Amino acid sequence: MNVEDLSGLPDGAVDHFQSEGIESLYPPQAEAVEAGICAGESLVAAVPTASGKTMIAALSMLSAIERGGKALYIVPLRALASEKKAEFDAFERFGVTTGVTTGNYESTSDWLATKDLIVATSEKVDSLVRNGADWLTDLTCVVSDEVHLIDDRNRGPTLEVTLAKLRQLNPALQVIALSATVGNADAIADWLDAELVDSDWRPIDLKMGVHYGNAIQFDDGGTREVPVEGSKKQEAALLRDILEEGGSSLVFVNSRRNAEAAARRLASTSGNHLTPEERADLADIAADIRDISDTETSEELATCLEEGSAFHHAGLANEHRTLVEDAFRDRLIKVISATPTLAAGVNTPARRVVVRDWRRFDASAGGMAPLSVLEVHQMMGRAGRPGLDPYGEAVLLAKSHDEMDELFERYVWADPEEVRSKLAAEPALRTHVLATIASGFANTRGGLLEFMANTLYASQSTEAGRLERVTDDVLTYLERNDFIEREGDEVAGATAETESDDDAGGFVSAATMAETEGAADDVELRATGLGHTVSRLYLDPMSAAEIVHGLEEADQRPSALGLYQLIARTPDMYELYLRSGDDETYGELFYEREAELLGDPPSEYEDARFEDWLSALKTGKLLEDWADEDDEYRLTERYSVGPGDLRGKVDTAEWLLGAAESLAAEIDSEWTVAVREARARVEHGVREELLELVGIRNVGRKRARQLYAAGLETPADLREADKSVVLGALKGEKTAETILENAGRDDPSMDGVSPDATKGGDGGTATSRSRSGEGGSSNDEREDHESQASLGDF
Amino acid sequence: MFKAIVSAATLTSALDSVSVLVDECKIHLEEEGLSIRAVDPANVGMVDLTLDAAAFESYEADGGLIGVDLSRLEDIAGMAESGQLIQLELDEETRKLHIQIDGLEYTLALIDPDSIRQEPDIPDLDLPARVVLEGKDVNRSVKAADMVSDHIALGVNDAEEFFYVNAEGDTDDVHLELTQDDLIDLQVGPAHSLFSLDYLKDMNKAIPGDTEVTLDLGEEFPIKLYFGFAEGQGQVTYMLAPRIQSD
Repeated sequence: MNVEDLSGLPDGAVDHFQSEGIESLYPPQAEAVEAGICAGESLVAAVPTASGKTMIAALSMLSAIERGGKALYIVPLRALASEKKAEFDAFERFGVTTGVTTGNYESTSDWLATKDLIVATSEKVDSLVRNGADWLTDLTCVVSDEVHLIDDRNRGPTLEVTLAKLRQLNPALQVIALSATVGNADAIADWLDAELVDSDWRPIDLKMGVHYGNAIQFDDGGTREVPVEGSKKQEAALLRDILEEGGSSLVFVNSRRNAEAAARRLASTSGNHLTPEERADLADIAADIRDISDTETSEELATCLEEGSAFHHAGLANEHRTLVEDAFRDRLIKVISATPTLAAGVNTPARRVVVRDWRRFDASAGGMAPLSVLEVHQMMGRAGRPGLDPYGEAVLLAKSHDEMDELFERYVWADPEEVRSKLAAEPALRTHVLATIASGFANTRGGLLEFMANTLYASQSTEAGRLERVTDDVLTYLERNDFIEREGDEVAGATAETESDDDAGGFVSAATMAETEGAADDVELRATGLGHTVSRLYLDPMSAAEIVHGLEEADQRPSALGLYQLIARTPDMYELYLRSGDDETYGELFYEREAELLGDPPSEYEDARFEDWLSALKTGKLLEDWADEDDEYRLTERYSVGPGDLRGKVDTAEWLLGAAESLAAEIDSEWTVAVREARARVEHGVREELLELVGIRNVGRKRARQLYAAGLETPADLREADKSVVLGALKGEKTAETILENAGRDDPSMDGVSPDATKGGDGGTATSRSRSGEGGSSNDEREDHESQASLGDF
Repeated sequence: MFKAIVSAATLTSALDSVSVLVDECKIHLEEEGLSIRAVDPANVGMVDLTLDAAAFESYEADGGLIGVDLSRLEDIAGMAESGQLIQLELDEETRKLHIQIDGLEYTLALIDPDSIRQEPDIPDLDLPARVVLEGKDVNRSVKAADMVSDHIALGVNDAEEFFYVNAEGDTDDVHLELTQDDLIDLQVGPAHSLFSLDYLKDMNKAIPGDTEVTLDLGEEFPIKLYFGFAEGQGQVTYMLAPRIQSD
C-alpha cells in the first residue's frame, strides 16, 4: 500500500510523509490501515521495535484530528515525551498543533485544550483525570505507547486505570495501543475491544545468536567467525569485527557503572577506526559535552567520545543523551554502551547489538536475577538500521558451552512473557478506587464494579469474585476513614452498618453481602471533602489516614519531630533501616520523646508496629537534625546515607507536609500553622529564627546563619544595615550585592566597602557555633589561635 | 566473582596507604581493577586508591563490594616474602576471602560493607599551585619538621617562584626552600597552609622515596597529594584538611 492511497488525513500530510522519504507502508502498517485506524477503529499493534509503530499512531491521530477530534499520546517515560513532541511538531506545517505535559501534578493545564495533539506521561494523564480537566472529554483518539508496561508492578496499575477511565469518559474513543511483541496481545485487544495486528515482520532481517569461543552461533543454524584474541573481551572482538565491515554496535550492560567502564574499554577499539575528519567532529561534540556540566560523568563521557565510544544511562543529563544519540545516528560514534533505558523506545538502531549482561541486581530477588525475555527481545530489536544496514545482528555472550545452550533456550528460542495486570495489589487499588469515586467515574458499588470490570485485571482474572472482594475491603477502609460516604441506604444499610461495626476488620461476610447486595449496589458512594483532597493531592489514602489521625489526636501544638515522625510512618515515605544497635538507640529516644509523637504509640510488645515506629523515628530524627542546621556531611555520616538520599528524604518530607497542611485545613485542625512551619524548616534546613532570611533568593541555610550571627535577622535589617557588616558576614562583594538586591535594597552596590567582621558573623564562628553542641571536647587540644579544619568545610 | 594473584609488595603498598587513615574499608572489585576510598573518623584526611587489573599477575572481578579489617589483612600479607605471590579468592556464599601464600591457606572473614563508614565524596577544589617533587624530598621535609614541631607549613612563594616548608617549634625552627631546579615541576600560585604532622607523617609512610609526588596547594585550603605505585599501575590520592589560623 502506498502513502498516496491513504485517505482521511489532513491536507499536506501525505506530502509531508513523502518528503520524509516514506513512499509505501510496511506490511504491519498496511494491515493497521485495513483494520480501520484511519476510520476511528481501535487497534492493538504488537509488532517488533523499529517496524513503524509511530507511523500507525500518527495516521490514527491525524485522521482523528481531520475529523474534528483531538488526540492524546501517552508515553511511559518523560524523556520520550520530548522526543515524540519534536517528531509531531513537524505536523505544524499542515496546521496540526502539538502540546506536551509531563510536569507537576495537581493542575489541569487548560492551555492544552487549544492543541490538537497532546503528549503526556500516564501519571500526568491520571492526575489530569483526577483534577477534572474539561478537555479530556473532547478526546477522540488515544495512543498508548509501550502498553505492555501494564505488567509493571509500580506504574502498570496507573496506566491500566487511566485507559479504563478515558474509555468510560468517551465511550466512542478510539484507542491505539502500541506494544512490543508479547505472549498475549490478543488478551489486550479483547480488553480494549480492539482489532489486533500481531506481527513479527521487521523491515530488516534480524539474526539472533550467541557468541561463544571464536564464533557466533545463529538461530538459523549458521555461524560467523569472530575470533577473540589473547586477553581481549568478547564485546571488543565483536565491535572490531562489525567496524571492519562499516557497521556500528550497541552494547547492553546491567548497571551505570558497567556502562561507563565498558565505554572506556571499547574506546581503544573504536579509536582505531576513526578518520581524521571524524576525529575532528568528535572533538567538537566532546567540547559541547564538557560545556554542559563539569561533573566527572561529563568529563568521562567527553574523553570516551573523542575515541568514538560513548555510554548512555539514566544518570546522564538530557542534553548529554541527545548529543550522544544524534552523534550515533550520524555514525560518528561507533559504539554505545548502555543500560536498558536505551532499549525503551529511543530510536538508536545499530547493525550489531550485543547483550553482554543478561542478569541484573534485583533487591526483591536478593541478588542477581535474569532479565525477562521481553526485555532482552526489546534490546535485540534495536539491531539493524532501516535503509542503512543490510541486516541486523543481535548477540548474547556465553562463557561456556552450557551457558550458550542456556541462552538459546532462555532467550533466543523463547517466546516473550504474557502481560498480566497488577491492579489487584491493595495499595494500587486503594488509590485508584478513591480516585474513581472522587472524580465521579462511579458513584455506586455497582457502578464501581462495573468500572472495574472494564480493566484488564477483570478480563484476566480467573479467580471468581476476587476483584469484588478486595474492592469491598477497600471501600470499607475508605469509609471508615471518612474519605467516602454511603448515602440513601438507611433501611438496608442499617444492617450492614451494625455488621461492619462488630467486625473490626470491616470484612463483610458473604451472607450479609448476599442479603444486602441488591440494595448495596445502588447505594450512592460519594467522596467526602477530605476524600477529594486526598485524591487531588495524589496521596496514598493510607498515608492520608495516618496523617489525619495523628493531627486529630494532638491536643497540644505538635513539635517538628512529632510531625516528621508522623509523615515518616506513611507508606509514601521510605523509612531508614534500623541497623544493629539502632533499636536500642532509638528505643531510648522513643521513651525520651514519646510525648511529642502523634497518634497511638505502640506498646513494646507489638513487635512489628514498634519497630516501624522506631524506623520512622530514625527518619524523623534525621529530618529534625537537618532542620536544626546540622551539616550535611555529618548527617550523611551519622545516618549512613548518601547526600542524594538525604535530599530525597527532604523532598519527600516537603511534599508530604505540604499535603498534610491541606489535610489539616480540610479537617479544621488548629495545627495548620505548626505544619506549615515544620515544612518550611525542612525545606530550607533551618531553625525557626532563620525562616525569614531564607525567603530571600540566594540565601541558603549557611548564609542565613552567618547573617543572623552578625545581627541581621530579617530582610528589613538587610535593607538598612551598614554595608560593611553585610560584607563581613557574607564574604565576597558579588554575593553581598546580589543578596542585598534580592532583599530589596535600593543601593546594593558594594563599591569601596570594606568588610567588618567584628560583629562575629564570619564563616568560622558561625560554623563553630553550630557545632558547639558536639565539638566541645576537641577544643581542649586547640593551641593558640588555630584549629583543625575538616574536609567537609571545603 | 573475584579471583586475583598479586605480588606481596604491591598488595602491601596498597593496603598500607589506606591503613594509615582507617582500620576498616570497603574495597570495590571492579572489572578493571580495585578501588578504595576512605576518610578518617575526624573527616580530616581522605584517601582514594585505585589499583589497575594490570598490576596483578592475574585478575578477574565483576563489580562486587567487600568490607575488610585492614590490620588483619595486612598481617596476613605480611606473612609473604616481598617477591612472593599472594592469591586472593572471594567465596560469595560464605562471604569470606580465601588467601593463599605458597601453600599457606588463610580464610579471612569479611565485614558487612554497610557497617563501614560511608565513603567520602572527594571535594572538588580549585587549588592554584602545583608542586611535583621526588618522594624522598617529601620524606626529608616531614622528618625534619617532626623534629621540632607538631605542625608543618607548606607554601609557594609566587613572586620568587619557590616551594617552601616551614616548621616552628617552641625553641627550634626548620626551613626548607626548593626552587624550580630542585623540583620536577612547579606551577606557582598563591599557596600557604598549615597541616598537622600527625596526619602527614602517616601519609608520608606510604610514599616511596623513588616516586614522583604531586602536591596541589592553596591558601588555607586542603592539600591534595598524589603519587603512583606498583610501576604506575596503582594511584593514591590523599587529601588533608589544613589547620586554620584564626588570627
